Amino acid sequence: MAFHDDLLDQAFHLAHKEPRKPKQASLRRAVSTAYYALFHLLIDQAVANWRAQELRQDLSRAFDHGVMKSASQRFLTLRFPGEDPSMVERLKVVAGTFGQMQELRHTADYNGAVYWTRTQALLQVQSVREAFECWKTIRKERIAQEYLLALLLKRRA
Amino acid sequence: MVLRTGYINTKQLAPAVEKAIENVKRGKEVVHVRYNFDYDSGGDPALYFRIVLSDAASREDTLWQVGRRIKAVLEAAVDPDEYVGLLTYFSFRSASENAQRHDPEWV
Repeated sequence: MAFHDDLLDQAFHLAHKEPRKPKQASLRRAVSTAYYALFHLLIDQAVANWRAQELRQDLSRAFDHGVMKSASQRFLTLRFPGEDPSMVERLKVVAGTFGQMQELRHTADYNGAVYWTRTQALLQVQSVREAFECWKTIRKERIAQEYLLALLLKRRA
Repeated sequence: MVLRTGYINTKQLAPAVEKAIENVKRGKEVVHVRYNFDYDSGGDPALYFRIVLSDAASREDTLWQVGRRIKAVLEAAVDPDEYVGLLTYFSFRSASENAQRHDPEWV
């Protein structure tokens, strides 16, 4: 199994841990892990376009959370005339989930004042699973490839 | 509150948000919704929704569908062309989870 798939499994495992009284550590790590599952899925897909396989790991380190968030935010508002609307919708699910999860990951990792519930953690992990499913169906589309490129490139002012 | 980036006037947006909240509360799934405007961790203007679901709607087998539906209704309140740059974030709790807590922003 790929690393991002393992991370998603792990996120579900953490969200279900302690059935009666979930620990904050488990729920917070579930959300954070789910974000990283999506983060690594997208990077994996982007660097797979690089022919020299042995250099893909180096390329993957060029991705920046902030740039990826900005690109995701931008794609949410873009229009894609001539493209299949269902594909566009799925791409926007992926982009929207990425932005949402990045913010929640930040809260989960750094803000101890926020109390997490299993409902919240589960929903976020489920949303990443949905993004994974959407991605599988669009990954070869041109708009999906444009999105991957945008995740890497810092937009010039 | 006027958030920078696109000069988002939250007072102007509030009625549309309130209306969307009324819409999602018409069913039996939503107990209540709270919201506030702020900047997110990246400094972008943001609208944070806190949604308390009924315990029945919070069951794991239906949770995703319910959450997605509610999110779509609330998101539609924010016209992306008018409120450029405003991000929306969603947090959910079940009624029983919320009852165990006394978090003022969730009441």
